[in-house]
Amino acid sequence: MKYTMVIDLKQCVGCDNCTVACKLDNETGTGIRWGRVVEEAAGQFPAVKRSYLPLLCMHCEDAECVKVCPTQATSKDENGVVRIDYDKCMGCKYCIVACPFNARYFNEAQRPPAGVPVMGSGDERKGAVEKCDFCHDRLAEGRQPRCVEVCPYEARFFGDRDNPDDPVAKMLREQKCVTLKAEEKFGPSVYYTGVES
Amino acid sequence: MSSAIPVADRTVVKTCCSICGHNQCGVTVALENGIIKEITGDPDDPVSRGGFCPKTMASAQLVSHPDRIKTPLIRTGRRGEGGWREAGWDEALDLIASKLLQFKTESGAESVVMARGTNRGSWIRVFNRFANLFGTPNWTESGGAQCFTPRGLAQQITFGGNALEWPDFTNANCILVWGANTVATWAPKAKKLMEARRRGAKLIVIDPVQCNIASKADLWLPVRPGSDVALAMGMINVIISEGLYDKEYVERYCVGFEQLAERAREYPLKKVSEITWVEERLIAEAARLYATTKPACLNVACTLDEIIDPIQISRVVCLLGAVTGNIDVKGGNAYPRSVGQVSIDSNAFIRLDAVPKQVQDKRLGASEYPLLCTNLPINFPMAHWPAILRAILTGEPYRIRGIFLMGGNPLLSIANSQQARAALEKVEFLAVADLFLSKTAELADVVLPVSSWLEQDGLADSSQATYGTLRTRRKVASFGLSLSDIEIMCRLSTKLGLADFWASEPEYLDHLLQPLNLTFEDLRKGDGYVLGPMQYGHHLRDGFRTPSGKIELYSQRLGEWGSDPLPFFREPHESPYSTPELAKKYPLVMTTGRRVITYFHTGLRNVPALRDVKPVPVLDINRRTAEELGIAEGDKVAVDTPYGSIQLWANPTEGIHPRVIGVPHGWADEANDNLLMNNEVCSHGIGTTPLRGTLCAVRRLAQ
Repeated sequence: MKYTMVIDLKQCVGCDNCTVACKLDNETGTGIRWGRVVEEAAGQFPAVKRSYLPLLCMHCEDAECVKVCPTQATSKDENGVVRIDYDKCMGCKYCIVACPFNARYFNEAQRPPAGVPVMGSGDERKGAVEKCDFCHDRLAEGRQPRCVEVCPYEARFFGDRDNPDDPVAKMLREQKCVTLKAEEKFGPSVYYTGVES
Repeated sequence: MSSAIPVADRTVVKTCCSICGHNQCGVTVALENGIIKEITGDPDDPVSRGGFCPKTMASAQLVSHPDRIKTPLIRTGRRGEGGWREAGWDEALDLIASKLLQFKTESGAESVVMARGTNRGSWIRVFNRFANLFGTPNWTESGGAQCFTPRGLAQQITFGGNALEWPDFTNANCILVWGANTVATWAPKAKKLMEARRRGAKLIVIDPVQCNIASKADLWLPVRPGSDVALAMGMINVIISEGLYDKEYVERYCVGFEQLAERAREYPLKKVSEITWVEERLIAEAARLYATTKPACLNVACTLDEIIDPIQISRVVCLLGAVTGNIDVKGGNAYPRSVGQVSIDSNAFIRLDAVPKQVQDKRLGASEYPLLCTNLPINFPMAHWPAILRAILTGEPYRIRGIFLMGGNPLLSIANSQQARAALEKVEFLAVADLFLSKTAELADVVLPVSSWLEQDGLADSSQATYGTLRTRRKVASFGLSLSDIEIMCRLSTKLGLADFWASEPEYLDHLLQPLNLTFEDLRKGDGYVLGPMQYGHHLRDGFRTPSGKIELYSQRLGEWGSDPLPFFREPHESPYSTPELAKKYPLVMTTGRRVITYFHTGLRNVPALRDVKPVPVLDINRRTAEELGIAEGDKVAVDTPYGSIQLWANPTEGIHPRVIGVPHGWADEANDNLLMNNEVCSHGIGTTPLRGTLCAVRRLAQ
């Protein structure tokens, strides 16, 4: 099984439902966004086109973070999910430097701005590096990652690309899907479709 | 790891959000051992069908927020000093009632202002009725002349109903969005819009900033803020002069076409392009695409209510729909049917008759702004906020002694915050009902704790979003002693001895449902909704609710009320053209009031999951303009106007005209955009303080 996400950029409107849902579900602390949406713009006013690019851990087949981790805190599981054992992580940040997609965050228990309380358990990962785990616990319960569940615009799809009957495998076969930094052959498990040429 | 933990007691409750009060998205709330785990848009909801936004999701953090007000608070020490003591409901409400009754006896009911801000539920008219039964003519809203009132009037005048609010996206082949970032403000509508896009519907967006929805458009028209009327008239001129209008529809259902055509001829493309800063080609293309792709629907928002001529712009947008034959038709803008509950949008419901005429004549603002403040057959009259502030500060035309405020934060949310602060500090008595100690509540004498939508039973019946369907809000949590706004009004009405109000919210809800032979409990225990289907052609068949029974392209009534019966463009009161001298010092045109999806007006900055995603107030400024001013991304910058100065963080972008900036609203302290606004020049007749299209300068601050 190879867990895979396909994101349809034509459908993404940059609402940040995914970003906020991820923060709530994983109780991430200040400044930490396992998933985020980056606004981009091509061209010059008025011939400009803004677009939105959702980013998260790419769960690479050839994962640089796994290679550099001195304590094996970062590893790939049997389904292709790159996971972190927070107890083993000693916070050396090699993986942050190695990650080609800026998907990793060092948890330094940063304080929120004045007037905003700390809520949730994010600080329990203080001193470790953290990132998206494709909602591993949800997958174990047979559910979809939270960011897929909360997207009202049908911009996110998740499944097993090894299973030819899976809708995601079908999308990869039938639609033009691309990965980021494809030329560098990290083998991301996150694909994008609906990319405007 | 967590899979080893035994599965807790899990329940899922269906309810309707009310964090913005307008969309009322249907959601599922998953609870484990009574604790909210997640809130998700409900794909089975008959109205929102899974559309929802981050505000809804993060509402879970309201239920356990450490800064929520848990009990009524009574001020100790000096006003604004921060000294409070906790009180019970009886003591707090007795105190408020005794003050309000004292003012009424000594100085007349008009010495009490009853004001509201946002709508946590559907209680605008309930509060309106509460104020009328108390007897004050000075009921008002922070929105008021800035939100819906002008465009509601324009729609009533033009086609006797609020069709602009009900675009039929599902059946439209073309969608024209005028000044709405639908994604940020109308999530369920945006969902339907994007579904229409997917099946090939065309999208035209008018917005100075290439906002979320504009980024998906076939045509984006970056109009100079405040020049919208000229743009719309330019489009109408193209549509009429090129014969693209719906001749049969206009002939059968509209009056005043010849006059409109003649007026439109005053708006040739070249002139309109010069006024609006939009390319001629683009204006013509948008007009042609919109007129020839049928059916087409219109999607608007309160931007229309915030330019110097709000009634005019809403009128022209209505007329675009009318001349192209897209009003009251499938795929255009239609009139959904109510399911038949008691209508709260009527003068009978709000009991305007309870305020004697001679008292109504005292409504603050009535002499200057008759369309806002006097009783016309088609409005809900209210007092004018700038006139209230002046009355508090000067005692003219009479003293204002007390303010009872529900769900509002006027210190930040109305123009000229400097004056608002002076007035709120001066007024003899201020009582505020809210979830948190807002900037306004900090100045109060009594603060009442209000429940969040997750802590309320109620009805979701905002017609703008629900298209007539009636749904249920089901309580899933409780917080301290907090009560819903309606319950607070019910309890206070008893203390005030108001006749003809309800003793409790359940009683009110049952009253609304009585014509349906339902109780609230029936609805809550059952499916939770009564479907209000879309209907088409009703007015085409039976006539529009206007004096002529037709769509009034030319409005005699508007003429009688002192305005022009036909749309016309007037240069904003300050602009590079109307005040060139001022423009030398303040060369940029500002649009403010821009919405950010994670916040609603002045609220929610203290919700961690939202604040972390949008941590600072951001200024949209053209990349090249920023470069010229030495401003880089993330720099702290000042925005200056003749009235004030604020600080924001720069977001240089190509998605905005080099001479225009976009300012967000609702932030506190040094980022409060209402410090920049003048509230002395207001729209003719309706009293709107113009927020879109004023002059400013931007400079980099020491970092």
